[in-house]
Amino acid sequence: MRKLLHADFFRLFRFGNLQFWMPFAIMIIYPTVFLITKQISMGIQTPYPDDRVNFNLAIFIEFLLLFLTGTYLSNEYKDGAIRNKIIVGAKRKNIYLSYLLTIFLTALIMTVMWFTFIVIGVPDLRPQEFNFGNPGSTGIGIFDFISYFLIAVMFLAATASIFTFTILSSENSSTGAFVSIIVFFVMLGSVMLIPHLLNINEYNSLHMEDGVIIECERNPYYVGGAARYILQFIPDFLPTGQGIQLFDIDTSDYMHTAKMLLSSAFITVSTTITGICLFKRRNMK
Amino acid sequence: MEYVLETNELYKSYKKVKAANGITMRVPKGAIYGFVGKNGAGKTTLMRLICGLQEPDSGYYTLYGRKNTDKDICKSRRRMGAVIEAPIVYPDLSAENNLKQQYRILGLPSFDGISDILKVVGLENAGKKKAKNFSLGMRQRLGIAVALAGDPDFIVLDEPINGIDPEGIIEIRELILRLNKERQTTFLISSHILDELSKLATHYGFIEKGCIIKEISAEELEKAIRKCIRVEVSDIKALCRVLDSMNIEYKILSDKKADIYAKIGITELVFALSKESCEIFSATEHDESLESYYINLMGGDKNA
Repeated sequence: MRKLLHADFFRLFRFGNLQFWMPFAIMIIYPTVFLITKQISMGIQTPYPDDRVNFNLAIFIEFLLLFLTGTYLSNEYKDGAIRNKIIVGAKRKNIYLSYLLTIFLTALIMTVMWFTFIVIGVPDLRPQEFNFGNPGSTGIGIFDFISYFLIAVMFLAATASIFTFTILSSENSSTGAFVSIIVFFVMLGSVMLIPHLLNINEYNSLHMEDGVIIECERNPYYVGGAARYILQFIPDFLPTGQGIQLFDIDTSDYMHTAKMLLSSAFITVSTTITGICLFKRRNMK
Repeated sequence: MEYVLETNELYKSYKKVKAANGITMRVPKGAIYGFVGKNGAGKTTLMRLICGLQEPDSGYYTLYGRKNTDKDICKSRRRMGAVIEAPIVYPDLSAENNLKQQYRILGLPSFDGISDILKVVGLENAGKKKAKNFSLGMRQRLGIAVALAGDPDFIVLDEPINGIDPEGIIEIRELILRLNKERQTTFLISSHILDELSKLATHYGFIEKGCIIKEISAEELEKAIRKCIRVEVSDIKALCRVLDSMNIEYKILSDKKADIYAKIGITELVFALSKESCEIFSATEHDESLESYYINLMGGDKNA
């Protein structure tokens, strides 16, 4: 396992590997440009707005992770690297875990970069002498910051596990990459659609007389009962949902935070176990 | 005799196609085992199975005495190297860096020996050129170099001389013979170029429709192949008439040449032919080739 990790880290992180360094370059350029243009547009003396955080890069990083996992693992397939490792006696379980850990480490580095930018960009978190003008309050404290970081690390681990699973358990690399793209957009689409579904009114019209409802027309599209509960749960469960709502999470609601962390842990463990089982049975060509 | 690889009734199907249909074979230690069969006969399937790329549907095999179901089979595989179908190379790395990556995968403590391997396969001057810019032959050699990393004592090569120029073929042949002689490396080699294989192999396995139909050592093959007299005459029809009258087996090669499969007195033949006004230009003793043996084994020309 140690040998494989060493080889995989070297392969991915080596100098000149565009598929690895390009997402990192984007990770540096995008927030930098974002921060500078925001500060310039607001003027140097203008107080910061009261939004909780200025750049939520969760979906962006998940997309970069999709790109990186897709290109990296597809190339490993195409070049015969996976075949080679099996031929020289590496266990399939170790090959799978090594790839997953390599991708997860990449995700972790991206998360650290992202939160570094948050420290720079969020006035409450950066040292006072670096504040320009009179910053508004974002209300983010150190406890919130740590909680957000933990949630982010966990949902990015889940994302890495999902993409590793879809690619390594597919019959060929291009199918795996295609399935990963579909999975990502289904996860993203579903968490964007769900708030609209939950906002559908239960009643189309209410007729009231003297403050008493005498007639009501029920909306057939209203989602209620168990289906409503499931829809409310999905954004907390999926990594894309956690990413979108990350900086709106009330960290004092420990149950909510725990639910998210456990969901990510569940996705990570279940996709990894299933992925290893499928990968062990795969016919390599 | 000690065997590196033994397979017993290996079966493997892809949907309804039986690619391995009860393969039973044995590769002796130190042998160069020539694996001969038509396209789709099951050669590559067998190689995939023994390299752990695929699992057999039934049957088993042993590598260095370890059964494939043994949890320590990976330890036996660590003594193997293989080039199956396409050579395994990283196209964005140079030959040297490809070998370094292989050393990392194998967990070798240092990069010592890389230059020797590159020299052995004739890639010592490849420099920083990336593998994606290599010719087919160079890539094939690099694939063999990668397979040689870690000093394996069993190497599986699937069509190793495909796409290689004549000089390269000679170099690879010499490399295989040298490794076999100096390091006692065992080889399992599949090839369609039977003439080339006959210059290497110490043992042969003939496979047809997923079954081994014959295993034979080179010595046994030498004894088994038929001797013949190749004659060149002025009138091939006259030769046929004479040989038919003598009830002798023969094979027409061209309008002037034929192989005669019998011990025949040359004087008697010359005398008989002169009566038919047929002149003999030459008569030489000739051995049947591996190719002819294979064709006969497969049931004649229609299977060639």
